[in-house]
Amino acid sequence: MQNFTKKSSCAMLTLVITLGLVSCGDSAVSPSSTTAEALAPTAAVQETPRFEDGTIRFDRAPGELGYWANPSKHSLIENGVEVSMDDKGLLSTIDDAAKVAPFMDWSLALYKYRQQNGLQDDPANVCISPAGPRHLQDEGGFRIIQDRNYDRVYVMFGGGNRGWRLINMDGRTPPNPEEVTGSYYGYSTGHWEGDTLVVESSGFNDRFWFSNGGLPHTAALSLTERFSRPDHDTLLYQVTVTDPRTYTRPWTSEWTLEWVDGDIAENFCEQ
Amino acid sequence: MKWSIQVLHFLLASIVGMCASAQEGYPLDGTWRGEYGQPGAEGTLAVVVMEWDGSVINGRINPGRNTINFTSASLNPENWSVHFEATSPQGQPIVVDGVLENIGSYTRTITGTWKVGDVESPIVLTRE
Repeated sequence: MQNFTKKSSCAMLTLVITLGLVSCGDSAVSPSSTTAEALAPTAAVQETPRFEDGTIRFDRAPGELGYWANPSKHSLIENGVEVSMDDKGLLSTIDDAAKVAPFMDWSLALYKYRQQNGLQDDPANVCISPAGPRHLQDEGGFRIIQDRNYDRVYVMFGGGNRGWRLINMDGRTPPNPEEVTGSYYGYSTGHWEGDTLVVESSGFNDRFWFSNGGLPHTAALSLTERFSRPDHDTLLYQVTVTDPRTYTRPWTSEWTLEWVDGDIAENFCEQ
Repeated sequence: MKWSIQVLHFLLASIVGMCASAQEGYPLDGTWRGEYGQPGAEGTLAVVVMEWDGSVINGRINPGRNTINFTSASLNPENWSVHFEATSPQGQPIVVDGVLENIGSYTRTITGTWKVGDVESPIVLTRE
Protein backbone atom coordinates (compact mmCIF):
# COMPACT_ATOMS: atom_id res chain seq x y z
CA MET A 1 0.00 0.00 0.00
CA GLN A 2 2.76 2.35 0.89
CA ASN A 3 4.58 1.49 -2.32
CA PHE A 4 1.49 2.12 -4.27
CA THR A 5 1.10 5.54 -2.73
CA LYS A 6 4.71 6.45 -3.48
CA LYS A 7 4.40 5.28 -7.05
CA SER A 8 1.23 7.28 -7.52
CA SER A 9 2.80 10.39 -6.10
CA CYS A 10 5.78 9.95 -8.31
CA ALA A 11 3.66 9.57 -11.40
CA MET A 12 1.70 12.65 -10.55
CA LEU A 13 4.87 14.62 -9.96
CA THR A 14 6.29 13.54 -13.29
CA LEU A 15 3.16 14.68 -15.02
CA VAL A 16 3.23 18.04 -13.37
CA ILE A 17 6.88 18.59 -14.29
CA THR A 18 6.24 17.54 -17.85
CA LEU A 19 3.45 20.04 -18.19
CA GLY A 20 5.61 22.68 -16.65
CA LEU A 21 2.73 24.03 -14.68
CA VAL A 22 4.11 23.99 -11.20
CA SER A 23 7.35 23.66 -9.36
CA CYS A 24 7.53 20.87 -6.84
CA GLY A 25 10.34 21.46 -4.37
CA ASP A 26 13.83 20.31 -5.28
CA SER A 27 12.66 17.93 -7.96
CA ALA A 28 10.98 20.35 -10.28
CA VAL A 29 13.43 22.96 -11.43
CA SER A 30 14.85 24.31 -14.65
CA PRO A 31 17.68 22.33 -16.28
CA SER A 32 20.30 24.91 -15.36
CA SER A 33 19.39 25.09 -11.70
CA THR A 34 19.10 21.31 -11.57
CA THR A 35 22.76 21.06 -12.50
CA ALA A 36 23.82 23.59 -9.90
CA GLU A 37 21.83 22.02 -7.14
CA ALA A 38 22.92 18.52 -8.04
CA LEU A 39 26.53 19.58 -7.68
CA ALA A 40 25.94 21.49 -4.50
CA PRO A 41 25.94 18.56 -2.06
CA THR A 42 29.30 17.25 -3.26
CA ALA A 43 30.98 20.61 -3.69
CA ALA A 44 29.83 22.02 -0.39
CA VAL A 45 32.15 21.79 2.56
CA GLN A 46 30.62 19.68 5.28
CA GLU A 47 30.56 21.23 8.70
CA THR A 48 32.92 20.13 11.41
CA PRO A 49 31.26 17.37 13.42
CA ARG A 50 30.78 18.05 17.11
CA PHE A 51 29.64 16.30 20.23
CA GLU A 52 26.40 17.41 21.83
CA ASP A 53 28.20 19.87 24.05
CA GLY A 54 29.84 21.51 21.04
CA THR A 55 33.28 19.93 21.43
CA ILE A 56 34.97 19.17 18.13
CA ARG A 57 34.81 15.52 17.17
CA PHE A 58 38.06 14.35 15.57
CA ASP A 59 36.95 10.79 14.89
CA ARG A 60 33.97 9.15 13.28
CA ALA A 61 30.45 9.99 14.16
CA PRO A 62 28.40 6.92 15.08
CA GLY A 63 27.75 4.85 11.98
CA GLU A 64 30.49 6.55 9.99
CA LEU A 65 33.76 5.10 8.75
CA GLY A 66 36.88 7.08 8.10
CA TYR A 67 40.34 8.11 9.28
CA TRP A 68 42.99 10.76 8.66
CA ALA A 69 45.54 10.31 5.90
CA ASN A 70 47.12 11.93 2.83
CA PRO A 71 49.25 14.56 4.54
CA SER A 72 49.98 17.68 2.51
CA LYS A 73 53.65 17.43 3.55
CA HIS A 74 55.81 14.34 3.93
CA SER A 75 58.51 15.69 6.23
CA LEU A 76 58.82 18.37 8.84
CA ILE A 77 59.87 21.60 7.16
CA GLU A 78 59.88 24.91 8.92
CA ASN A 79 56.87 27.01 7.95
CA GLY A 80 57.63 29.41 5.13
CA VAL A 81 60.40 27.28 3.68
CA GLU A 82 59.94 25.82 0.20
CA VAL A 83 62.15 22.89 -0.69
CA SER A 84 61.58 19.96 -3.00
CA MET A 85 61.61 16.46 -1.53
CA ASP A 86 60.00 13.10 -2.21
CA ASP A 87 57.45 11.22 -0.11
CA LYS A 88 60.19 9.83 2.13
CA GLY A 89 61.59 13.25 2.88
CA LEU A 90 64.57 12.85 0.57
CA LEU A 91 65.63 16.27 -0.69
CA SER A 92 65.90 16.86 -4.43
CA THR A 93 69.11 18.73 -3.76
CA ILE A 94 71.29 18.45 -0.67
CA ASP A 95 72.01 22.17 -0.97
CA ASP A 96 68.56 22.78 0.51
CA ALA A 97 69.35 20.88 3.71
CA ALA A 98 70.13 23.93 5.84
CA LYS A 99 66.79 25.53 4.92
CA VAL A 100 64.66 22.75 6.38
CA ALA A 101 65.09 23.67 10.06
CA PRO A 102 67.32 25.83 12.29
CA PHE A 103 69.97 23.15 12.79
CA MET A 104 73.01 23.23 15.02
CA ASP A 105 76.22 22.36 13.18
CA TRP A 106 76.20 18.73 14.28
CA SER A 107 72.54 18.13 13.50
CA LEU A 108 72.87 19.65 10.03
CA ALA A 109 75.87 17.42 9.38
CA LEU A 110 73.97 14.35 10.59
CA TYR A 111 70.89 15.29 8.55
CA LYS A 112 73.06 15.64 5.44
CA TYR A 113 74.76 12.32 6.19
CA ARG A 114 71.40 10.56 6.42
CA GLN A 115 70.16 12.25 3.27
CA GLN A 116 73.28 11.44 1.31
CA ASN A 117 73.19 7.76 2.15
CA GLY A 118 69.61 7.54 0.97
CA LEU A 119 68.07 7.23 4.46
CA GLN A 120 69.54 3.75 4.79
CA ASP A 121 69.91 4.09 8.55
CA ASP A 122 66.25 4.81 9.15
CA PRO A 123 65.28 2.84 12.30
CA ALA A 124 61.90 2.22 10.67
CA ASN A 125 63.74 -0.04 8.22
CA VAL A 126 64.24 -2.47 11.08
CA CYS A 127 60.70 -2.03 12.37
CA ILE A 128 61.51 0.50 15.07
CA SER A 129 58.36 2.53 15.07
CA PRO A 130 58.29 6.07 13.80
CA ALA A 131 57.03 8.43 16.48
CA GLY A 132 56.32 12.05 17.17
CA PRO A 133 54.99 14.04 14.22
CA ARG A 134 56.30 11.44 11.78
CA HIS A 135 53.46 9.14 12.65
CA LEU A 136 51.03 11.75 11.38
CA GLN A 137 52.70 11.68 7.98
CA ASP A 138 52.69 7.92 7.66
CA GLU A 139 50.78 6.59 4.70
CA GLY A 140 48.93 4.19 7.00
CA GLY A 141 46.89 7.06 8.42
CA PHE A 142 45.56 7.41 11.95
CA ARG A 143 42.50 8.04 14.06
CA ILE A 144 42.04 10.43 16.96
CA ILE A 145 39.69 8.86 19.47
CA GLN A 146 38.34 11.05 22.25
CA ASP A 147 37.59 9.00 25.36
CA ARG A 148 35.54 11.59 27.18
CA ASN A 149 34.64 9.28 30.06
CA TYR A 150 38.25 9.14 31.17
CA ASP A 151 39.44 12.52 29.85
CA ARG A 152 41.87 10.93 27.43
CA VAL A 153 42.57 11.06 23.73
CA TYR A 154 44.05 8.10 21.92
CA VAL A 155 45.82 8.47 18.62
CA MET A 156 45.76 5.11 16.87
CA PHE A 157 48.23 4.68 14.07
CA GLY A 158 47.80 2.67 10.90
CA GLY A 159 51.49 2.78 10.03
CA GLY A 160 54.71 1.81 11.76
CA ASN A 161 54.02 -0.79 14.39
CA ARG A 162 50.33 0.10 14.41
CA GLY A 163 50.68 1.44 17.91
CA TRP A 164 48.72 4.00 19.83
CA ARG A 165 49.51 7.11 21.77
CA LEU A 166 47.83 8.49 24.88
CA ILE A 167 47.07 12.14 25.54
CA ASN A 168 45.95 12.94 29.08
CA MET A 169 43.21 15.55 29.16
CA ASP A 170 42.51 15.59 32.89
CA GLY A 171 44.66 18.59 33.73
CA ARG A 172 47.46 16.61 35.33
CA THR A 173 50.96 18.02 35.55
CA PRO A 174 53.36 16.05 33.37
CA PRO A 175 56.44 14.55 35.00
CA ASN A 176 59.75 16.33 34.75
CA PRO A 177 61.28 14.93 31.55
CA GLU A 178 64.67 14.87 33.28
CA GLU A 179 63.28 12.37 35.76
CA VAL A 180 61.65 9.86 33.43
CA THR A 181 63.02 7.18 31.19
CA GLY A 182 62.44 8.45 27.69
CA SER A 183 59.93 6.62 25.55
CA TYR A 184 59.03 6.53 21.88
CA TYR A 185 55.75 8.42 22.24
CA GLY A 186 56.75 10.57 25.21
CA TYR A 187 54.32 11.83 27.81
CA SER A 188 51.47 13.96 26.52
CA THR A 189 48.97 16.25 28.17
CA GLY A 190 46.31 18.15 26.29
CA HIS A 191 43.83 20.94 26.69
CA TRP A 192 41.42 22.88 24.55
CA GLU A 193 41.98 26.39 23.29
CA GLY A 194 38.65 27.15 21.65
CA ASP A 195 38.20 24.50 18.99
CA THR A 196 41.88 23.59 18.95
CA LEU A 197 43.29 20.62 20.83
CA VAL A 198 46.68 21.67 22.16
CA VAL A 199 49.04 18.87 23.21
CA GLU A 200 52.32 19.26 25.06
CA SER A 201 54.71 16.30 24.92
CA SER A 202 58.15 15.55 26.33
CA GLY A 203 60.02 12.59 27.76
CA PHE A 204 61.05 11.08 24.44
CA ASN A 205 63.95 8.79 23.83
CA ASP A 206 66.16 9.32 20.79
CA ARG A 207 65.94 5.86 19.28
CA PHE A 208 63.59 6.86 16.47
CA TRP A 209 63.40 9.43 13.70
CA PHE A 210 60.73 11.96 14.51
CA SER A 211 60.36 13.02 10.88
CA ASN A 212 60.70 11.45 7.49
CA GLY A 213 63.98 12.49 5.94
CA GLY A 214 66.07 11.89 9.05
CA LEU A 215 65.82 15.12 11.03
CA PRO A 216 67.79 14.48 14.23
CA HIS A 217 66.55 15.00 17.77
CA THR A 218 67.75 14.26 21.28
CA ALA A 219 66.00 13.24 24.48
CA ALA A 220 65.57 16.96 25.17
CA LEU A 221 62.87 17.10 22.49
CA SER A 222 59.55 18.62 23.43
CA LEU A 223 56.60 19.25 21.16
CA THR A 224 53.60 21.53 21.19
CA GLU A 225 51.01 20.17 18.81
CA ARG A 226 47.81 21.89 17.76
CA PHE A 227 45.04 19.84 16.18
CA SER A 228 42.01 21.51 14.63
CA ARG A 229 39.29 20.42 12.23
CA PRO A 230 38.14 23.40 10.19
CA ASP A 231 35.63 21.25 8.30
CA HIS A 232 34.53 17.65 8.15
CA ASP A 233 37.19 16.55 5.70
CA THR A 234 40.22 18.55 6.89
CA LEU A 235 42.53 18.17 9.84
CA LEU A 236 44.99 20.99 10.39
CA TYR A 237 48.09 19.91 12.32
CA GLN A 238 50.69 22.30 13.61
CA VAL A 239 53.74 21.32 15.63
CA THR A 240 56.33 23.47 17.36
CA VAL A 241 59.61 21.64 17.89
CA THR A 242 61.83 22.57 20.82
CA ASP A 243 65.10 20.74 21.25
CA PRO A 244 67.86 23.00 22.52
CA ARG A 245 70.45 20.27 21.99
CA THR A 246 69.65 19.94 18.30
CA TYR A 247 68.11 23.19 16.99
CA THR A 248 69.14 26.75 17.63
CA ARG A 249 65.57 27.86 18.40
CA PRO A 250 62.02 26.48 18.51
CA TRP A 251 60.46 26.14 15.08
CA THR A 252 57.08 25.29 13.66
CA SER A 253 55.80 23.13 10.85
CA GLU A 254 52.24 22.45 9.78
CA TRP A 255 50.28 20.46 7.27
CA THR A 256 46.78 19.28 6.57
CA LEU A 257 45.34 15.80 6.35
CA GLU A 258 42.25 14.50 4.62
CA TRP A 259 39.37 12.52 6.01
CA VAL A 260 39.42 9.26 4.10
CA ASP A 261 36.38 7.03 3.92
CA GLY A 262 36.75 3.44 5.05
CA ASP A 263 38.87 1.81 7.67
CA ILE A 264 42.60 1.73 8.32
CA ALA A 265 44.10 -1.19 6.46
CA GLU A 266 46.00 -3.89 8.29
CA ASN A 267 49.69 -3.23 8.10
CA PHE A 268 52.44 -4.77 10.16
CA CYS A 269 56.16 -4.15 9.98
CA GLU A 270 58.06 -7.36 9.42
CA GLN A 271 61.71 -7.95 8.78
CA MET B 1 81.67 -4.98 51.80
CA LYS B 2 80.62 -7.62 49.31
CA TRP B 3 77.11 -6.22 49.39
CA SER B 4 78.44 -2.72 48.71
CA ILE B 5 80.35 -3.92 45.68
CA GLN B 6 77.26 -5.65 44.36
CA VAL B 7 75.23 -2.49 44.80
CA LEU B 8 77.96 -0.51 43.07
CA HIS B 9 77.98 -2.93 40.14
CA PHE B 10 74.21 -2.70 39.92
CA LEU B 11 74.31 1.09 39.89
CA LEU B 12 77.04 1.09 37.26
CA ALA B 13 75.12 -1.34 35.12
CA SER B 14 72.02 0.84 35.46
CA ILE B 15 73.92 3.96 34.42
CA VAL B 16 75.47 2.16 31.47
CA GLY B 17 72.07 0.74 30.54
CA MET B 18 70.40 4.11 30.61
CA CYS B 19 73.12 5.68 28.50
CA ALA B 20 73.03 2.79 26.06
CA SER B 21 69.41 3.56 25.23
CA ALA B 22 70.50 6.62 23.23
CA GLN B 23 70.88 5.81 19.59
CA GLU B 24 69.81 8.31 16.98
CA GLY B 25 70.53 11.65 18.61
CA TYR B 26 73.83 13.34 19.27
CA PRO B 27 76.41 10.95 17.77
CA LEU B 28 78.69 10.87 20.83
CA ASP B 29 75.97 10.32 23.42
CA GLY B 30 76.26 7.00 25.17
CA THR B 31 78.81 4.59 26.56
CA TRP B 32 81.95 3.63 24.68
CA ARG B 33 84.45 0.90 25.43
CA GLY B 34 87.91 0.11 24.10
CA GLU B 35 91.45 -0.90 25.01
CA TYR B 36 94.58 1.16 24.63
CA GLY B 37 98.16 0.03 24.90
CA GLN B 38 101.20 -0.73 22.84
CA PRO B 39 100.79 -3.33 20.10
CA GLY B 40 101.49 -6.82 21.44
CA ALA B 41 101.13 -5.76 25.05
CA GLU B 42 98.13 -6.37 27.25
CA GLY B 43 95.67 -3.52 26.71
CA THR B 44 94.13 -1.27 29.32
CA LEU B 45 90.37 -1.16 29.32
CA ALA B 46 88.72 2.24 29.06
CA VAL B 47 85.02 2.95 29.43
CA VAL B 48 83.93 6.40 28.35
CA VAL B 49 80.51 7.94 28.89
CA MET B 50 79.58 11.07 26.98
CA GLU B 51 76.52 13.30 26.94
CA TRP B 52 75.82 16.45 24.94
CA ASP B 53 73.93 19.12 26.89
CA GLY B 54 73.42 21.51 24.00
CA SER B 55 76.62 23.46 24.43
CA VAL B 56 79.15 21.17 26.10
CA ILE B 57 80.06 17.50 25.77
CA ASN B 58 80.18 16.20 29.31
CA GLY B 59 82.13 13.03 29.78
CA ARG B 60 83.85 10.73 32.18
CA ILE B 61 86.32 7.92 31.92
CA ASN B 62 85.83 4.68 33.84
CA PRO B 63 82.75 5.79 35.79
CA GLY B 64 82.71 4.50 39.31
CA ARG B 65 84.91 5.06 42.34
CA ASN B 66 87.82 6.27 40.21
CA THR B 67 85.90 8.35 37.70
CA ILE B 68 87.96 10.76 35.66
CA ASN B 69 85.94 13.70 34.38
CA PHE B 70 86.65 15.33 31.04
CA THR B 71 88.25 18.72 31.20
CA SER B 72 87.28 19.46 27.59
CA ALA B 73 85.74 17.72 24.60
CA SER B 74 84.79 18.58 21.06
CA LEU B 75 83.25 17.09 17.94
CA ASN B 76 83.91 18.61 14.53
CA PRO B 77 80.91 17.71 12.37
CA GLU B 78 82.73 18.64 9.17
CA ASN B 79 84.91 15.54 9.40
CA TRP B 80 83.45 13.91 12.56
CA SER B 81 86.75 14.24 14.39
CA VAL B 82 86.58 13.81 18.15
CA HIS B 83 88.89 15.25 20.77
CA PHE B 84 88.71 15.05 24.53
CA GLU B 85 91.02 15.69 27.44
CA ALA B 86 91.15 14.74 31.08
CA THR B 87 93.68 14.40 33.87
CA SER B 88 94.54 11.04 35.41
CA PRO B 89 94.47 10.59 39.21
CA GLN B 90 98.27 10.69 39.05
CA GLY B 91 98.10 14.09 37.42
CA GLN B 92 99.04 12.96 33.93
CA PRO B 93 97.23 14.55 31.02
CA ILE B 94 94.98 12.24 28.99
CA VAL B 95 94.41 13.35 25.41
CA VAL B 96 92.25 11.37 23.00
CA ASP B 97 91.88 12.12 19.31
CA GLY B 98 89.90 10.09 16.84
CA VAL B 99 87.38 9.98 14.06
CA LEU B 100 83.81 8.88 14.39
CA GLU B 101 83.10 6.09 11.93
CA ASN B 102 80.04 4.16 10.82
CA ILE B 103 77.93 6.94 12.23
CA GLY B 104 74.59 5.40 11.29
CA SER B 105 75.26 2.30 13.34
CA TYR B 106 74.29 1.77 16.96
CA THR B 107 77.75 0.28 17.51
CA ARG B 108 79.63 3.08 15.81
CA THR B 109 83.30 3.56 16.59
CA ILE B 110 85.88 6.22 17.36
CA THR B 111 89.22 5.23 15.90
CA GLY B 112 92.29 7.18 16.96
CA THR B 113 94.86 7.56 19.69
CA TRP B 114 94.81 7.56 23.48
CA LYS B 115 97.67 9.47 24.99
CA VAL B 116 98.55 9.36 28.68
CA GLY B 117 101.42 11.66 29.51
CA ASP B 118 103.89 11.14 26.69
CA VAL B 119 102.75 7.63 25.82
CA GLU B 120 100.47 7.43 22.83
CA SER B 121 98.56 4.26 21.93
CA PRO B 122 96.08 3.35 19.24
CA ILE B 123 92.50 2.82 20.35
CA VAL B 124 89.14 1.90 18.92
CA LEU B 125 86.24 2.91 21.13
CA THR B 126 83.04 1.09 20.28
CA ARG B 127 79.66 2.38 21.32
CA GLU B 128 77.70 0.01 23.50
